[in-house]
Amino acid sequence: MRIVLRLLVPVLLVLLWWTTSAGSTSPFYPPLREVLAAFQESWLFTRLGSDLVPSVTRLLAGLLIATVVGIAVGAALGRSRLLMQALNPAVQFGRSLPGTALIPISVVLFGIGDGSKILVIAFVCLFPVLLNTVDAVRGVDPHLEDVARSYRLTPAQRLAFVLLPAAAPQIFAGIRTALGIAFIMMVVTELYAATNGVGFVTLSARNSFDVPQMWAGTVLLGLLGVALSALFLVLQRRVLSWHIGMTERN
Amino acid sequence: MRPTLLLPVLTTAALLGSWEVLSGTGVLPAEVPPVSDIAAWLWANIGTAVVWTAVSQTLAHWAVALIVGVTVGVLVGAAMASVPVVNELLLGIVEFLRPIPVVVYLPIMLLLLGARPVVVVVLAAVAALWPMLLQTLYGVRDVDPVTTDTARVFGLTTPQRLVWVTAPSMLPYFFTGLRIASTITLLVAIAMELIGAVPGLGNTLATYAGNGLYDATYGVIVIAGLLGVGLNAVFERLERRALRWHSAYRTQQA
Amino acid sequence: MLSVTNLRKTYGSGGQAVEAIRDLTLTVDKGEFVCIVGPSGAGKTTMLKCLCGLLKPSSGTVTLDGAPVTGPPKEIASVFQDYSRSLMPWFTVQRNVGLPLRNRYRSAADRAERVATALDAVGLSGFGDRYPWQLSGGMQQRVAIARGLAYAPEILLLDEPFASVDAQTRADLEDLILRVRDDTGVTMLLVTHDIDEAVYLADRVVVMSARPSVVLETVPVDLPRPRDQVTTKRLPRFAELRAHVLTLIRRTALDGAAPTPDQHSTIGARR
Repeated sequence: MRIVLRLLVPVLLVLLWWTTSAGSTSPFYPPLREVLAAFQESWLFTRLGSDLVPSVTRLLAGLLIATVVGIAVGAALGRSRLLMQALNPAVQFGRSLPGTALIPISVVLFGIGDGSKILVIAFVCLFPVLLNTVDAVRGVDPHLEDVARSYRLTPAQRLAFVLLPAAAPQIFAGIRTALGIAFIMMVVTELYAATNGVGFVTLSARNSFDVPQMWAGTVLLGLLGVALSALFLVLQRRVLSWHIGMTERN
Repeated sequence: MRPTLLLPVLTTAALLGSWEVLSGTGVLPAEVPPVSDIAAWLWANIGTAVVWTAVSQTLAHWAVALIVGVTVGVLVGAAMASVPVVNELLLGIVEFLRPIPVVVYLPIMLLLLGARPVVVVVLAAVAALWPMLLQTLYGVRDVDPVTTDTARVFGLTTPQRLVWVTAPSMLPYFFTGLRIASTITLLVAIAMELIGAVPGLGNTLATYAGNGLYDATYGVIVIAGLLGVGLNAVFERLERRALRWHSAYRTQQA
Repeated sequence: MLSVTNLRKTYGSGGQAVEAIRDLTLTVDKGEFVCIVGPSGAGKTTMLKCLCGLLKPSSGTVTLDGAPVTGPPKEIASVFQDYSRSLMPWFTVQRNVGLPLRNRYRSAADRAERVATALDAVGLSGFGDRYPWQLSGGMQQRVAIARGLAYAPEILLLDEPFASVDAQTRADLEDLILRVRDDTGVTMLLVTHDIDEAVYLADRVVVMSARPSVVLETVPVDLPRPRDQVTTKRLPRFAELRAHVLTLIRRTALDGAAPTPDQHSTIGARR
């Protein structure tokens, strides 16, 4: 019953789209049938390798760099009050700067290739991961660190077996925020200047008045957003299964 | 000066100083002007109408979008949280639409409505809507049932309970949502201006960068950054104030 | 032999300095079971942290078999008070117990064997794959004890290990500790605020004063072993010792500050 209710509105919306667009003669609002045809023609699977794969690769590469650097730098800043104080103005500015404002200058500096896009995605995603890591590392229970020290764990073991696992739930919250931002950055970098990518295809369809293609690209981007978010949740559920179990118990 | 103030000032000065030297000696490419040139541009232009028009346009997009997004988000969120049927009806679509970043709709919106401020505002408002909706959902659900029962026992009417029980319990979530919404709205507004060539900071940036005016490009980035710092500071202060008596219930959704 | 000489520990500095421990001297012989009791806030945990090298004393020395303790020694294992905050919730019971063994045994099979033995000793065989938060409080504290035992220490330090479990579990855990001690011969140093527990378990009870702490008296416990929750606690001698320690604690708790050690007491000297 619940499933039916939850699916009711999405199904109704699609039906509404289908019926209202079926007889549409407006060039901007093509019949859903045509959109689906364009979707199949482009994305199953002609452009999959040439455009979808580059988009997703850039997003994941940027996010991965941001995650690795963010956790490493965040852990260092979280451990050292002095270091955090010293870099605080730079960090505050970096995280408050609307990341999309960096896109024009990144194109000037690094061109419109993959490197430029990955770099700007990584830079903007860095801050949510970094700040969450700082917070998380600071919040690690000192009792656990006493245990680790009294049993003579090496600093590397303390990092791997105590500090990072303890910080993981909050770090994941940061990565999740970063994922949303990475997606925005991916699309905007491709809309601004690119030679391939889903965003690029969608925007160039506008310039050639291939309206069904635009709608198809939009649908694909939407599905991609949903898919990435779902995949992330699966990953999180795996890595943090202990945390989920513990929280549900309390 | 206290040592806690001295250290960040010194490191920041050192960072900017090394940028200046690296740029002056040509280690950095010509597209990265020295800090002094950027500062000089800012000094000369910070009072000009061009800069202030762009700032105010972006701020206007941000403000209208935030108000619309927050209002809709709170209303829908509250409706979902308090009326089970509404929740069941909307949950599917919310779960589906929420992970889709608003920039996805940009090409279509540009096609349908053209490069106009209303496109910026509509999309930025949608961006603001999701964090508000979610935080409202969490907030209303988190109202302590004991408090609600107590209020009922003392004979408070429904509107009274809303004002004296539900609203105060929700406030921390509201401000957390507001802070997240503000950040994302500014990010999206600038992106829209950038892509759609709608007047504002984003468009100004694109124009300067495209014409090789790098002092000005960095100057505007600094302005955008300071705008972000300022807005963040305001909303964080509001949030901290709201959380002061409620800190134990703070969510990690941010 | 663990020996502590004129240990002093103050926190902070200047006008805000808090003197937790003023002057502690005590020795724990090999194979001995020593309990330290004191009123709450007597700096007992601070003292233990100094003993196991987690805190640096402000002055005085801690030596283990003649060598000064400067960091956590490999001969000492600790069981901490709050089990919910001393076990890693992201590791299963086995991995928790095996974690400190990584630097001792290269091979995972050796580690697994030691872990199994330790879990068996505390009666938790079969629970290795559970997570700590899936177990009751008493079981979690047994995991912490197993972790200490697997480490094969000469000395086991226990910081109010049974403070957060219910009375029945507490008695079970006390007997578990006594049995483990008989089986392994490990030296035990247990801190508690429970006088019954101290007298029941110990060969010697060291009574600490309220903060700033000094040793009020060392009371030898001449109760026969093996001990039993019913028969031992029914002995007149148990009541005598208990009353004696309680008197000391009451006095220091009332006085607050450190009094001079009670010279008139005779009961402790009888043997």
